[in-house]
Amino acid sequence: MSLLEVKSLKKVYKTRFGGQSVEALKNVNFSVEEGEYVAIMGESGSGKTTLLNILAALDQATSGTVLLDGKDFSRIKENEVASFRRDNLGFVFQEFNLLDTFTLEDNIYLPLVLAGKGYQEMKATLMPIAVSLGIESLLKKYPYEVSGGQKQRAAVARALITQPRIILADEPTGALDSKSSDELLSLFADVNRMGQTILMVTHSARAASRSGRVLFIRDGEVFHQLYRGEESDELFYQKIVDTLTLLAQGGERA
Amino acid sequence: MKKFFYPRLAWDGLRKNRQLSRPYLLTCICMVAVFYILSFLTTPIALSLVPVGTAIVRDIMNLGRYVILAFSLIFLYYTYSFLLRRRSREFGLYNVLGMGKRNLVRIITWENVITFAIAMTCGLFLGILLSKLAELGLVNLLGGTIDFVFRVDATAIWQTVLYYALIFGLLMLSAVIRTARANAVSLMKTENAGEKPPKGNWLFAILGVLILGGAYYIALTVQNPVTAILLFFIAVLMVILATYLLLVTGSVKLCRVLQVNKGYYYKAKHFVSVSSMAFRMKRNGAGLASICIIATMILVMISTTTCMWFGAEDSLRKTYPREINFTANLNDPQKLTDDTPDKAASMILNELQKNGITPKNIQEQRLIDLSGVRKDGFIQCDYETASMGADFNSLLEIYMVPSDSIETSDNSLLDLAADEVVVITDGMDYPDDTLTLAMGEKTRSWKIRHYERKDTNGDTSQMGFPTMTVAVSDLATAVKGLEDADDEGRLKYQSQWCYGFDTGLSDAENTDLHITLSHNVRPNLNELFTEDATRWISIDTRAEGSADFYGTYGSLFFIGILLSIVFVFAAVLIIYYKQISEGYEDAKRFDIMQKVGMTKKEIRSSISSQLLTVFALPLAFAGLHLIFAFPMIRKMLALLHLTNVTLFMSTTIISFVVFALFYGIVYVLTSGIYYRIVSGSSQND
Repeated sequence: MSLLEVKSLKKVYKTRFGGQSVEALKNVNFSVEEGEYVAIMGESGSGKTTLLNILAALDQATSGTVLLDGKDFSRIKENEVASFRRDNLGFVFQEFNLLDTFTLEDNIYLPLVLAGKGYQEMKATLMPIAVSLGIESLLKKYPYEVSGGQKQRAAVARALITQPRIILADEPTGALDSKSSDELLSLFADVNRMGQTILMVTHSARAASRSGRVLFIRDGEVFHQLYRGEESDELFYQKIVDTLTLLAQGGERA
Repeated sequence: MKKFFYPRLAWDGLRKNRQLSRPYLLTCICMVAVFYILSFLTTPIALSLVPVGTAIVRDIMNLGRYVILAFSLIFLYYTYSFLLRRRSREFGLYNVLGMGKRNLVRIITWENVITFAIAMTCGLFLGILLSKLAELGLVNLLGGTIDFVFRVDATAIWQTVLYYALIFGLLMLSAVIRTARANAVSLMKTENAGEKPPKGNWLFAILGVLILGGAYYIALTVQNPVTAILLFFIAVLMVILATYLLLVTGSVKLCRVLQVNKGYYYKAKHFVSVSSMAFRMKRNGAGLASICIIATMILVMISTTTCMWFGAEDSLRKTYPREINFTANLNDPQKLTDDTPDKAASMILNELQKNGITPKNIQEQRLIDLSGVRKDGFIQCDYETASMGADFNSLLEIYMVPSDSIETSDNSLLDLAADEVVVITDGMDYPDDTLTLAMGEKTRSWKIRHYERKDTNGDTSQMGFPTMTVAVSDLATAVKGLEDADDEGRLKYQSQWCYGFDTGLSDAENTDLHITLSHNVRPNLNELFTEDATRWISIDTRAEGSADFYGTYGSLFFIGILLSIVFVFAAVLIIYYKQISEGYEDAKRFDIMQKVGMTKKEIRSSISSQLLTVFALPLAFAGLHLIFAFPMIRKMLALLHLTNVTLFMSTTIISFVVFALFYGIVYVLTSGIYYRIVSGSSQND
């Protein structure tokens, strides 16, 4: 059984006054295996963000199913959604989404505190993660005192600390310079090598080329997918760029 | 260029920011209206209706008018700067789009002109409309006859326009200076660019606690009403300072201390609230302190003026024990003990009989009045030491009276030996066995046969000092003893004969009777009691006092209510702006928390608990201030012969409850706006 299964997912938005409806997702099907590192690519308006919001249980699909460990998202009760999200999903956002009223340490603890963990236990969980992410000296600082790359690493630590089944990353390199982007992507690769499943939405071919598999979305459907196999980052990158060019030219499925 | 370009732009600016500009405008209108009303009440056409104490009413209204003016300037400046800060982005955009400073200044000028015009038109309209109501209220309060003629006074209008034009001119000037100094980039910058985490300052926090403690200590320990007046203003300043220190830095420090306590802090319930509170208090501490001070001000003002108004009759009766009161200051104490007082009384009774009046409740009192300073084991009575007042707190008044004029529980005490006295104190203890009065080096002593303390809350002495009533078997002997001991002539005392009665006549008739008595009896009494022209007999009627009392207390009560309305308006506006600015700041956080795994319910309950704390803090502090101010104000009211503690306590409690209710309603309404802002923006994302 796959870790994450998405079957014939459809999302229709109604405009506010009920007139026209917009089909953000038409018919999305894919699955993610345990320990995989999957990138989802697509242009603006292709439905990436809608898909991610549904996977994050922040939004509900019009029809179709999402299964995580065989558990159907649509079956989760309203008041359990938050704790389900906390226990099973880790998030990394483009804008970091760190609370400016907390130190980095407290930001990382937030999901654990909400889950009712004690301080000593949290600290013990955090230390190895902080060391591997290279932020152990920054823990007492506030978000405004550190760089974008450091903020994003703290956000990754916050995602990892609950030991989630899957990490959902939304354009994690979008607000970073190229050096910080490379560092973050290496970090993702390391984390993935240790067995962490990652699903990353991006429109950067360079970011996608570090993953194990790339899904291309166009007009609300999975249009194509590429497996890395044994290829190097460079070769995989080339393949992705080629596919994107094809997509941009409006070509049919390769 | 299009005609009316700038006025149009300015008008659009005001309209688009109506969430901010409307309450500001409303406050301007309210202040203008109240200022007009007070100005109107100082004019002769309004005062002509006031039956009593016209001059006092005019002075008090005038005072109130300047309080409003000063408050308008400070408060409108505060809100207007808030408004400008919120809109700096808009001005920055204009600047980037190619408008120079000159053009921005023109927009700001037009905005102010428009605001001024609206505030003046609506404010004056409202003021003129309500001035009739205010006039009816005041005249009715002071017992005049009301009519239904509508009056408008040009001078009042003219003054209102002039003063407020001045205030708006100053506001505009500050805005222009501010704009001239800023540059486009800094105008565009949003407010939340990297806010430093609040640290809280130990020194200020501790200082705040100490100063507040000091002020409360003063309030609780001051015994003497005269000292209370002096210290009250010092205590008020201390409380204001301490409130700002505590709410601005103390509260932040408290949050930091809670954060250090890991067991407490890392709990789902406290985690978000405590860390957000630190930031919230840093930003809002000053605003909350202002609300707290304004609230305390309103409460003190309304509770005391209400107490004065309802206690006016009480106060009047204590100042004038009877409807007609004679007081004779004698130069020779011997005349108190011979038949002079009896002769005087019969003279008065004769005259009354001639006028066909039967006096009731006749009260006669003979006494020797001394001032003294308490020393170790004796009381220094010579004039120089006593009047220097070097040590205010040990001053006291001594009333020496014949033993048959005191009321004690034990009638056998009335039969005193020549060297025995009964001592009754008010506002002090006197536990000694003997009473020793000293004049220079010489002393005179009596054995205290009986001692009791009967507190009347400082109402027996006009000056509010503690008093000691000393009953002696024979007044003449006692005075003679004192005089004998005083060979240096340092003793100063007053021999007083007081005679009062009720007539059962109306105020006007009593005033007439006063004139008759002054003409027919006073010369004879003067002759009878004194040969000294500097000592005289005074006749006071309660009727005359009544006009003064009701004039003063009535207009103070009236002003208290009017000023409270203005201050409440100000407090509401501060709360409103606070909620709006917090709403915008919290919207983003609300969104993040939701993404990180908090339910909407959790976030809402955390935020509402924070808001509630922020809401309750000023009210709780105001309540605390009020509790500690209570004994101090009570002592000052005692100087005005307002000694009804139950009355004062109930006016205080009622004021507080009414204010808290009103504050609560405002809070609920403004939280609605807050939640709309917060949830509105999270939907847009």
